Amino acid sequence: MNDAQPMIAARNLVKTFRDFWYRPKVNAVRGITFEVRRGEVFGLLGPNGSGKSTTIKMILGLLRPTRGSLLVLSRSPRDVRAKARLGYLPEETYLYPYLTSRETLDFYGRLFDLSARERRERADQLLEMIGLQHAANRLVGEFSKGMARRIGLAQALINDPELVLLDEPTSGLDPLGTRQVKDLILALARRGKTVLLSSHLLADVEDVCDRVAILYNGTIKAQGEIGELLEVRQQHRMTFPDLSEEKLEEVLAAMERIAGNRPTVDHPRRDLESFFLDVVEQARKETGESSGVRHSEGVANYLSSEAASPPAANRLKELLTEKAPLPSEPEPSPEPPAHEEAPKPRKDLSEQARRKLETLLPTDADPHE
Amino acid sequence: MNKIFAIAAITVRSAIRSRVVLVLLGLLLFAIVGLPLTVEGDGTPGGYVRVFLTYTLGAVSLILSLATLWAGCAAVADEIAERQLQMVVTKPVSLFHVWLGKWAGLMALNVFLLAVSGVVVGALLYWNIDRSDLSEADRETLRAQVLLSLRPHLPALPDIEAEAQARLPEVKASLGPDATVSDRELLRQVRLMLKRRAFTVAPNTTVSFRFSLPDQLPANQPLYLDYQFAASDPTPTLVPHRWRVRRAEGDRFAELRTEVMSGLRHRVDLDPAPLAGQGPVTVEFRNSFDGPVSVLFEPEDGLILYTYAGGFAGNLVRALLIQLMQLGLLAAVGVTAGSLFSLPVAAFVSLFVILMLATAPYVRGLAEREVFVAITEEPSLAARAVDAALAYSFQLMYQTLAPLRDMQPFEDLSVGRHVPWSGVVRVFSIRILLYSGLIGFLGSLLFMRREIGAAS
Repeated sequence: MNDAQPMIAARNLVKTFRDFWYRPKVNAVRGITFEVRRGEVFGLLGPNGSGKSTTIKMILGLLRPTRGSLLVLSRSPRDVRAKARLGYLPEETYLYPYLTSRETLDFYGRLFDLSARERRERADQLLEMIGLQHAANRLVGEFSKGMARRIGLAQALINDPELVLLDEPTSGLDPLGTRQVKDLILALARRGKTVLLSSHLLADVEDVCDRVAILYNGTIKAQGEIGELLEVRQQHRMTFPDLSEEKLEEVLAAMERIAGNRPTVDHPRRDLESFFLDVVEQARKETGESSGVRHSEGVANYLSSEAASPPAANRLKELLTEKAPLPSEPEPSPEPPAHEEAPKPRKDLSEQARRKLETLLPTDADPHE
Repeated sequence: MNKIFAIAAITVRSAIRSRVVLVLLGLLLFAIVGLPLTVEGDGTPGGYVRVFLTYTLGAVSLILSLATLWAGCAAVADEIAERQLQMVVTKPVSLFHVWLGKWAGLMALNVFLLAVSGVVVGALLYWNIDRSDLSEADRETLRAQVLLSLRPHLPALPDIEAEAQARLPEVKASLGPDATVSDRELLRQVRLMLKRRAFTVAPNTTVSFRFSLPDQLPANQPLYLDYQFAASDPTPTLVPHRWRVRRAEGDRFAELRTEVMSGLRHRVDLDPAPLAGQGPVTVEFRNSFDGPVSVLFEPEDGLILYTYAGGFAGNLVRALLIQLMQLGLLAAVGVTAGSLFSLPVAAFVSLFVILMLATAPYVRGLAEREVFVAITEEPSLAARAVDAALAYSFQLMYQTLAPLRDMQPFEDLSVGRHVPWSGVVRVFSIRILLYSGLIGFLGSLLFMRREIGAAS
C-alpha cells in the first residue's frame, strides 16, 4: 500500500437494517462516499442517529454494507491483515470486568501475537500514558466510566496501529481527560498515524481534525478541510494588545473612516476548557495527585512513526520523546494575563520542536505542517 | 494458537473471578458428600459402593452437564449482548478462534472440576469403607470384586448367517401369500431366533461357549463367571447345573456344580490355574434339571467372563475422561448455539439438541420400521411416499445419532467393570473430533455470517 492510497475508501456506502422477515427497517447509511488519507485526522460529525457509528462498524467489519464498496487499508474490512493494523475505541468501553487493567492490555496484546515482553513493556507505557499506572492491578469492573474509557483508549493503541478509529472518544471523560485525549490524537497524527474519529461534540472535532464529513440522516451533507469549512470570508478580525480608552477610540475612528462603518469591539474570552484546566493544574500542584486518574506524561514511546523513513522516524521519535513541551504536557500557566487570548489546543508542535523537525524531515513528512 | 489460548484463559479467569467456579465447586462437593447420606444401598457392601458411585458421580455429571451447556451458551451470547466481543473481533482474530477459545476455556474448567470431584469421590469412598462397620471379609470382597477393574469377555456368536438365509424362504412360505412383512424384517426375526437358539440349553444337555481371552491371565488375580438365565418354566425355584471352563481343548479344567434361581444374576469365582496356555477358552454349561425345563441366556449379556484388568483408580480416571468427552460435546453445542442466538434462545436450542441426542436409543426402532401411515391393504401413492420419506429420515437420524449412544462409564465403574482406553479413544474420536469438530466448523461458518455489530 503506497502513501497515495487512501487508508479508508468508501464509495456509495449503504447500510439498511432489516427485521426478522428481512424487510427493510432502518436505512442507517444512504450512499455515502468519502476517503481518509494517510496521516490525517478525519472527523465524522453528526447528531445522534446520523449514521456515524454504523459507518465505523462497517469499517471495522462488525457490520456488512448493504451496498457500495468499502476498502480499509486496501483490503476488505473483514480481512484479519487489515485488522492487525487497526486500533478501535468503541462508543462505550466494553471491557471484561473481571480483568485488571494490566491483564486487559495483556489480553488484547496477545490477540495481536505480541511477545510477552512487548506486551509487558507496552502495557507499562500505556498505563503511564493514560495516568492509570497506580491502578494497574485493579479490576476494570471497579473503574469509573472515565477510567474505563482510558483503558479502552490504551487497548486501541496496544498494537501501535497505523489507523486508529475512535468512536466518541471523549464520551464519559472529564475536561482534563478530554483535553488529554485530544492532545493524544494530535500526537498520534504527528507520528504518522491516521485517525478517524466520530463525535457529536463540535469543539472536540474542531480542535483536532484536519478534515470532516458532516452526516445527517445517513447522508454526508458537507465534507472538506475544517479551516475552509469554518472560515467566514465576508468578515475580518483583528486583535490588539490592551489599549487605553483614548487609543481605542482613535483606532475605531480610523477604521470607520477607512472601512465606511464602525466595527464592533469587545474583550476576547478564554474558553471554559482552558480556564478549567488551568485551575485543575494549579490545584494539582498545591494538593498533589488524587486517587483517580493521575497526571500523565507524554505518549507511549513505542507508538512509532510509520510515515517517515526509518532514520528520520528514529530522529523524530527522539525529538518527540525528549522533554520539549508536547501538547500532552500542558505548560503550567497558573496566572494567565487577563486579556490575553487563551491558547487554543495547538495542532502544531512547540516552536523548539518545529525548528528541529524542519531540519530533519522533508516538509511533506508531517501532514499537519 | 496464542490467540486461542488467550481467549480460553480469559474464559477461565472470568469464571473464576465471577465465582462461578466457586459456586459450582460448592454444589459438586455438596452433592458428593450430601447425596450418599440420603440413600441406602441394597444392604450388601457391593450395593453400597454401587449406590455411592452412581449417585455421586451421576450428580456430578448432571450438574456439570447443565452448567457446561449454560456456560457454553453464555460464553458467546453474553459477550455479543454485552458487546465485549466487538472489542475482540476487531482485532486480527477469526470467529473460529473465538469459538475454539471459548470451547477450550470451558473444557479447562471441566477438567479442573471433574478432577476435584474424582479425587473427593475416591477419597470419600475409601474413607467410608474404612470407617464403616464392615467385616474384614466384606472389605476383602469389595477389593476383589468391585474396587478394581474387571474386563468383560462375551462368548463368540455362532455363524448363523448362512442358515438364516437358507431358512428365510421356508419361514416366508409358512406365513402365506397375504403376509405384509418385508423380507428384511423376516430375516431380522430369523437371525434373532437362531441366535437365541444357540444360547438355549435343553434339559440334560450341554452347550459350549467359546471366549477369546488373553493367552496369559494375570497370576493371583480374580477370574469370574457372571451369568443370568431364564427358565422355560419359572416354577422351579432352583435350576441345578454344572460349569466346566478349560483352555482350548485342554485336559485341565475348572469345574463348578451348583443350583441357582433363574432370572437373577450370579457371579462365581473360578480358579484361573487350569486356563494357563493359549487358544480360546471353552465354557461348557450343562443343564442338570431333571425335567422339561430349558434355560436361555440372553446373547448380549447372559454370560460374561471377567478377567483382571487393573485397579480402581485407573478405572475412575478413564470413566472421568469419558465424561469429559461428553461434556466436550455439550460445550460445543452450547458455544455454537450461543454464537448464533441470544442467550435464552440459545439455551432452548441447545436443550432441544441434547434431547435429540438422548433419543438415539429410541430412534433405532423407528429406523427399522418401513410402514408408518400406509397401513391399509392398498395404500395410496401419497401414503407410500410419506412412508418412504419418513423411513429415510429416521434411518438418516439413526445413522447420525447411533455413534452417540450413551456410554455409562460410571455404571461400569460402580460394579468394577473395566472402562477401556479404547472406549476413551473411541468417545474422543466420535464426540470430540467428529461431532464437536463438525458442530464447531458449521457453527463457525454460520457465526461468520452474523453481524456482531448489529447485536443489542
